[in-house]
Amino acid sequence: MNSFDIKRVIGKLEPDDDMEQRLSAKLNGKLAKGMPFKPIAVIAAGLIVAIGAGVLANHQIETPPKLAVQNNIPNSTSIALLPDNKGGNQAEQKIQGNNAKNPNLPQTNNNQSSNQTNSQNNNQNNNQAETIAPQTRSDSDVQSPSLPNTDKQNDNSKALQQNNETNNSKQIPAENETTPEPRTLLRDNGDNGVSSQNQISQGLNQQNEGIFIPKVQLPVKATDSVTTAKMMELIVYQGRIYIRSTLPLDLNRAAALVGEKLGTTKGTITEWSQQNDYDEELASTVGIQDVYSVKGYDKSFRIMTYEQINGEVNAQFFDCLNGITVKTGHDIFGKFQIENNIASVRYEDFESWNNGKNNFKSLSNLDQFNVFLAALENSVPVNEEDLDYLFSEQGTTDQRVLDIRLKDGSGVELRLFKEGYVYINGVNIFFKVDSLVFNNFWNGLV
Amino acid sequence: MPQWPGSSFSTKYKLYGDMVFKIAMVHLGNKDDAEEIMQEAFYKLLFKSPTFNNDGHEKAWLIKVTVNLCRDTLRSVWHKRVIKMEEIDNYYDDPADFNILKEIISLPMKYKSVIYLFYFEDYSIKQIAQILNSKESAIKMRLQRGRQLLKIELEGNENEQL
Repeated sequence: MNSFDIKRVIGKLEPDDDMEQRLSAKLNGKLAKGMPFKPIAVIAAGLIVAIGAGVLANHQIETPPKLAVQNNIPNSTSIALLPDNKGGNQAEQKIQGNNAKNPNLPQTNNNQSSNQTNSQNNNQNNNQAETIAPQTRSDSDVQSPSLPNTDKQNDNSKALQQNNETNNSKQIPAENETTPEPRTLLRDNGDNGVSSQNQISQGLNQQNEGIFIPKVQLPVKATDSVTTAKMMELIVYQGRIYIRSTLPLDLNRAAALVGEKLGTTKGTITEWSQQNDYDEELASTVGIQDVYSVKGYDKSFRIMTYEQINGEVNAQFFDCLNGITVKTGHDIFGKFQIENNIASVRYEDFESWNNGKNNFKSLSNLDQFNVFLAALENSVPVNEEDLDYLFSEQGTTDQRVLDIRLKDGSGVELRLFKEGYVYINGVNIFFKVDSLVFNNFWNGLV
Repeated sequence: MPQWPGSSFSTKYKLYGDMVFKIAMVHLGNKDDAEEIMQEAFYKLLFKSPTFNNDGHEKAWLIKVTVNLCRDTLRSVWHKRVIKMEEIDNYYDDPADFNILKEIISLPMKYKSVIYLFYFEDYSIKQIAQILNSKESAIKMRLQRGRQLLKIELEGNENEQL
């Protein structure tokens, strides 16, 4: 590829002939929406509505009762889309504990309670935690695009209309019917159907549609699932679930990372495990703590808790790496703000890592690491299940663990496999890096 | 209250429509999203733009706005976005061209902007740094990485520029 190729290829991207006309119309519409208050216009609109209502009322009086029931269908349909069971068992999902396969990851928080230790043990015992989906009202708001999407709205209208026709005047679907999926799951051209069934949906397909990491599901009932959820330290914020990060954080520099205060968590899991409390902002399993954004990081990805008790700092990152589709490494690694922010990079072999020996070697050639990092951002995600053998064949020479410390006091740990894969804890996806770049970098990790 | 300058839009569209569309396509990879970006970008240009010193200033401002809009769009819906490449191949007869564009679109956001501005708009690194409000060193680094990822062959005095 050369510069002429790029010019030629981009040059062929041209708007169609009708684009100007369509945009003009849309801008007109946008402008009209933004018009200031005009009493005359409001009065005129009011008159039109009043006349319309009169006509409608007159029409309903003359209409047989059966038809009147059918006119109520839209309301009933909206009820049907939000079933009382809020997803019920259909939305059951398995999630994997962060530390299930990496018991030796360093714990930066000095105030880890014994509950935490027990939790990790439970995590290993249970290996997979099963919880049930709640209804998260704010989810659609958070995930909706910032720009208006009239097409999607139209699609929804059509879907509603179609649903009306299908359901006729039924208000609540029968139990044996297929109930609508809970709105907590991401909807993307119907792909969420897969996500509600599998741990990690849909492996990488030929078109690289990415790998969907399902949203972590909160428990509905006070059953064993509560225990499961307790061992995952989490915070609910703006419909997202943030899990306690196991990545390093220099507590001495944590204060400088504290951003705007987002609120205070609302205590225990019991509180939000009630049916009506699913949507509650800042519900958590970490007790009552102040929650902040993290300077330099997108708060849709990372928030933090911070407090000082008797001069001792207790700070912790909570990362949201679920409910997302990963198409390239950038979708994950780009969030950590590694580029131009590296303080040091060191590495250890599997033997050292697995036994907590901390036999680190410093990486002096950061240029080569930067090349590797660029390739990592462009890497392709691969389902963990597809490469499970990488974990079972844990040869001491086949793996390296990179410990990247950033200038802001945070850190990132990457697990490299000789075959050219990179794994990051908590995401449970492998990333296939360009072979040439990977091998060059790997060979430098002697 | 902004007045609807229909003729202004037509003029601006003729000047920049093609460019804004290309930027949006390169960044987002599908036509529907590109059209929405265009709508927003032109709205800002017509109603919310500052006073420009000259045409170059206006163009640079619009590029920056468009790139930012693309970034915001990717951020807000990135987790559920599936790039519909099948729409893009309509623009190409030669599959090789389609593959080149696919590679460009697959680049991380920050590299795409730089690659586009450097190779298509022929801006210098200094100018790109001004437009994107970044340091020249950062732009250089992004350009280098973008090149590495795209395996772009260097020509002429490109090395000197870096």
